[in-house]
Amino acid sequence: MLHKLGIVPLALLAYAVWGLAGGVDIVPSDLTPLPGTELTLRAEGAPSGASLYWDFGGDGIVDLVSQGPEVTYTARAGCQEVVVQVVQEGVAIDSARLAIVADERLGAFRIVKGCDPIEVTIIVRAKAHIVAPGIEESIPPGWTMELIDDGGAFYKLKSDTLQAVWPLELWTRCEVSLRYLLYPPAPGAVARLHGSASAYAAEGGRIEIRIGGSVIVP
Amino acid sequence: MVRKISLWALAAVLTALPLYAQGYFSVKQGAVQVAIEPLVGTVSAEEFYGYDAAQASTTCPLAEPGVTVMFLYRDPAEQLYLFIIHGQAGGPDNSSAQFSIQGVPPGADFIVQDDPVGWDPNDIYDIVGGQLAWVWAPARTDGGVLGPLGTEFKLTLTPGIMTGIQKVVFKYGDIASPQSVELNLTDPIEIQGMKGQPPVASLVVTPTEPRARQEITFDASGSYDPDGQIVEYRWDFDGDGVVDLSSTEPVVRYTYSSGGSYDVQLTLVDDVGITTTHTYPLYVSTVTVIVTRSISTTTAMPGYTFRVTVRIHTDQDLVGAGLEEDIPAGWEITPVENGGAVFKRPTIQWVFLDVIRAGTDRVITYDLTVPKSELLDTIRLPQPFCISGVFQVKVPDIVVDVGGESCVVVDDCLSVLEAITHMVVADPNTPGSQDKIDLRLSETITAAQLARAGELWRTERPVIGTCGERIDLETLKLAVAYAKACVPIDRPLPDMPMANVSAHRTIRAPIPCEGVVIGFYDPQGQPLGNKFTVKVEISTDKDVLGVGLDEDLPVGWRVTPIENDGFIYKASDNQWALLDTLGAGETREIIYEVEVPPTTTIEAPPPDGCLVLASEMIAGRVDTGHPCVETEVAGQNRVDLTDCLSVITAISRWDVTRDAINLSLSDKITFQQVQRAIAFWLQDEVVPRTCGAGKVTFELMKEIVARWLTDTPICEPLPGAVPDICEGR
Repeated sequence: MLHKLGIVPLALLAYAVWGLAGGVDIVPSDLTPLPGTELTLRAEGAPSGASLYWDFGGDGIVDLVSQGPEVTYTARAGCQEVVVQVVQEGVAIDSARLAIVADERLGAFRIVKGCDPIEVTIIVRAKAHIVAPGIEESIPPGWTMELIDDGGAFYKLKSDTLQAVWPLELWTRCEVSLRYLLYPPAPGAVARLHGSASAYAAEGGRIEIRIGGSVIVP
Repeated sequence: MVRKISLWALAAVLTALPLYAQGYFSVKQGAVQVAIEPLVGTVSAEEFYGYDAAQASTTCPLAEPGVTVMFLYRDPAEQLYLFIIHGQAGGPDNSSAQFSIQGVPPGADFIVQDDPVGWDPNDIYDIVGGQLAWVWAPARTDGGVLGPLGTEFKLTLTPGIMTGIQKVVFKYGDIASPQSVELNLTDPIEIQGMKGQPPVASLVVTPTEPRARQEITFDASGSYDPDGQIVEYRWDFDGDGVVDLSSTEPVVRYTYSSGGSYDVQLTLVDDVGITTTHTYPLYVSTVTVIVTRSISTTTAMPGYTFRVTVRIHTDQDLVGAGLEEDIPAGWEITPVENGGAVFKRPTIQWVFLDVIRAGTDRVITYDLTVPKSELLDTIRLPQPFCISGVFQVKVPDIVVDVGGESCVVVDDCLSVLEAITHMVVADPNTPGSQDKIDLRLSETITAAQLARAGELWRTERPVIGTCGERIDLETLKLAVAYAKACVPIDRPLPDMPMANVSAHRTIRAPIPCEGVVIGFYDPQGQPLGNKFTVKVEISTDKDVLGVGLDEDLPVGWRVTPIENDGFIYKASDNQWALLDTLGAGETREIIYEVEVPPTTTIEAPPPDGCLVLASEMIAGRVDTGHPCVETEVAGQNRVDLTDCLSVITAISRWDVTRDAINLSLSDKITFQQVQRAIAFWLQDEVVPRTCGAGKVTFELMKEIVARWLTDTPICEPLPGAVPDICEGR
């Protein structure tokens, strides 16, 4: 598959450097944007003088190369992944991946800290009046999860899934959260996180979205 | 239905030996039994005996020289006495007599002693010890008078050593000219007095000249009891004193294993226990030639051919033997197997030119064709026709009637069972092939015939040869019993131990704790929730032949078999039949699905706080062909019906994707359903398609969360839960 700038596909490079140097992060201006919102994405931790290769959509094709740390991106409805690759003197030295989920009524994102164990915080944010928010988070095969803060939710932790539901209503801009620890099966293990958040809109109808934010750990 | 008629009944020569019980007293010794009347006198017993102390003799006019005379004597006071008079001896020696005596009634004693004990120490009158003895000189007598005896007694006098006495004579009747019965000096003499009259025996033995290993009919149906009824017949066929058979019916059959002379003893017992024993001397020939006829059908149709087989068995060599059969006029005979004999058609005779050796069998087989209908116009059907036959031998000189089956009934139609056993099953691989009737086939049902019968039953098609009759479940089970027992249908089925057959029904509703729901449809518009499954387990502790299950469901409910486990299913009647043996300890499972019409109207249940649903019942019965056992199907029989769901059921069936009821979902509550329930609860929203208020209450919300967390299906109690007050309602 050809890429638009005629260089090595970003995904291959990104996978090649995972776990080597984890210095760069993508920080969006809004973690729970509305669809059509123009965001500022900032690659923090990239060395000066490096080129940043941006892939909007996570399809492995570089959409933009920037010399500065900030770019703008218009969020589409639903989930899209953004990958940035740091290239210095023609060599990919670092990368970061972020899921951006844009929905009019519900937002959810994941924040990851540490590496062994990894502390994950999931925040569910109401963007409209919703009822019974909940999340379902997959546990990577071989990894172990320990819930350290249920945030007031009913939860069920099984070997492969965490399910949690909050028996309450959330008004606009209110949020609930929970935190858990992830233990890798072996030092240096890398995993991809996957989960969804859901709720019922007060005016009716079920809402379900992907959980945005960090998707690769550590 | 057995239509054959034995010729024995027609050929029997009746032999009646009646006994006339005149009065209420009898004397019996061995085979001799006589009803007697006491002598009635005008003087006292002492006076009638006329003991002459000077001569040590009696003056009684009934005494006889050299004879012991006994009689019962009724005096003017109506008291009864037994006289024993030993007559004068003819020779020069003393005479003596000894008897043991039993059954002396209380209060009776020897009121006359000839001679008194103090006079003659040789004479003994010990009625307590049961010993009597006399010794008397020539020209004198001895004896005594015992009494009074009352009206009910049974004296037994057993002769001991007797010298100078030739016989015992018992006299009865008119005192002026009494009758007498002569008794021997060895066997016990029973003298019985009764209030009631004893039964009167009559015995007819058929055949009159029986042979060993030939079944003999003993018919005592001519017997009667003058003042009551006979309640028991005791049979001692060989006269050895041991009752071989006790029956309440007067006719019995017996076969002697060997020839010889027998004293058949028939004892009749009436309703007050009085007995009469009758002895019938019977000579059973040692020659055992048995000639039996078997006929391949009990019913024949005009124009049809059936098969006759005559089997000759002998235990000794037979020379110059011949068989002659007499068949109905106009019937066509076709010999099939002559058994080594020469057949002469005009006279229907077979002659054996060789010796029929002892221990061998000869079989003669021929077919008989019934005239066509037009030739039978003058006869109203059904009509029995019979064959008679004689087997004759020159050496030894024997004439034997052919026994066994002799008659057939000619009719336009066969019974269903007859038709099955004579059916030539159509070949399914031959186009146009149809069932046929061949009356020459045996009366034992084959596997192919049984299978065909099952198919005809299942499809409700008429059976060939029956004038349109169809097989019902009862007849089918009977056919199974005969087929599996390998017994011809004109014979009784063998005795089998009674079995405990049980059947248990389990009903699995589409929503287990809810029942059948009406008015629910899938996205394609097909009804949902209106089908349920039923499992009936049938078992037995002993073998049974042929099993039927009859399930009675409400009208309009449609059954679809899922698992028949060897049974065949008849849709029109919801019946299942097992054309096989259900073995001891074996269990068969029938599973079927029932569809309740989606248009069924559900009556509103009473609002009593518990979930009470409208319901319908299923009734079922299992019965067997042989032995005949019938039992109701136990277990579940109620089908609940509803057109709305309980709230928790609705939540468990909530399809969050479609946000609608999906009855195909399970009893377990999922995360998404919990989330939906919370939304219903928080928003105080009515859950669609539910009964009553239809809202998720606070209590129910907790229960839903608890069931989700504990993975407990909605119909099962939560761990540690207290039984609900509605449980079992």
